Amino acid sequence: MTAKIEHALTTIGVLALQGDFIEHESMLRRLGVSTRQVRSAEDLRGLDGLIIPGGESTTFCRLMEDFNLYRPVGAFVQTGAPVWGTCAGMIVLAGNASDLAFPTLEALDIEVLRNAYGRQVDSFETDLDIAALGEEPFHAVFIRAPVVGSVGPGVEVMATVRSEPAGREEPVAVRQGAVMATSFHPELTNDVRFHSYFVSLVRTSGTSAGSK
Amino acid sequence: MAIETGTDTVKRGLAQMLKGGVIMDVVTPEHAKIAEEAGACAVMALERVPADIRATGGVARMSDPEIIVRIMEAVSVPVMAKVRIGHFVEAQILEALGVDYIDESEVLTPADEAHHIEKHGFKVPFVCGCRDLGEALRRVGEGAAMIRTKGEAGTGDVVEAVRHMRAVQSAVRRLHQGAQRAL
Repeated sequence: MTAKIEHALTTIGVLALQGDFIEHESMLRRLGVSTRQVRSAEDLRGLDGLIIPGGESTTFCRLMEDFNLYRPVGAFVQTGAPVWGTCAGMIVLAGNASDLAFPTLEALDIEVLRNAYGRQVDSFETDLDIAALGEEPFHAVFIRAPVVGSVGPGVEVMATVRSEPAGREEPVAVRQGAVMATSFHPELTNDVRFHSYFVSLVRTSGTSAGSK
Repeated sequence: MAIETGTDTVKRGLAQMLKGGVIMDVVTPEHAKIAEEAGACAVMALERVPADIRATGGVARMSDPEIIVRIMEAVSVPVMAKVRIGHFVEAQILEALGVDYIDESEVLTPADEAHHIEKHGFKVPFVCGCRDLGEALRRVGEGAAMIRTKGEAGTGDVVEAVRHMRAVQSAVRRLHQGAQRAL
């Protein structure tokens, strides 16, 4: 009962320029968290956390530039409030992204290779072991996903996938302090555990970034 | 830990990633580059834009595979391409090229007046046009992963697309709200 009330006081924003922001919102609502679509600097005010959804990374960056969102979103990340990027969101948060004509937010010390799993015919689903989410495997959906090429020393790898030809274990979920990124889409499944993990990160961090 | 490709979830998943974006018709790699720089979330390769097909007539087919490959090399956004209705061989060629989505499109000259492509067997997802919910559901039944409205391409008259969108939306709402007995 108390948990439900605390959740109700939490507001998580979802960057809503393009992509699957509605899917993220409905996952958060299932957890009793209120959500807000973010399209301007004003929308970031008073948020406890932010999700950058899946979509097309060049489109996100083009729109962030046109709507002057680079600085405010960057400043929001700087406040230390939890931020989570899925797929294109991971690319936007990365330290460096191959072959992207726009700057990234450099919020995560990782290097990403865009579309490196191949084209749409190579998009895939698989089960992942993610210790932070418990015993049961997490079913992950990868859509033209980025590959994490390298990971800095402060970055925790939460899950990996064995890439078929190279046989290398590639990071697909990473976290560095309050910043988290997944190259797959928990919002396309019915499993709320990843969103629930992010919500608890938001609640324990307890900084209402935009209110300052 | 099995890895599955070509599932309904990944096919529809890409459509979900495209929401709120613009898919721009392009004929050449140069067009594609301009579309990407302007913020298009995907490009659609076709031999001639619909207005030109209308003006010049003749048989409109899938684009030259060589041009499609050059478009794929020119941009990093998803590349879609059109095939003629029912022309499964054009679709097989596009799948082999590695395009990200196939539009089985009434804008091109139909190859089969009786049947659309059986789309379930393909790993690449398909988008199809519709004028109402019944047409949309027939395409979904054949394996389409995404639905668009038809409109009257190349006329510049947007009201046709709006009419089709209204028809689909109101039919969906009627199904949601109608009494069990009315269905």
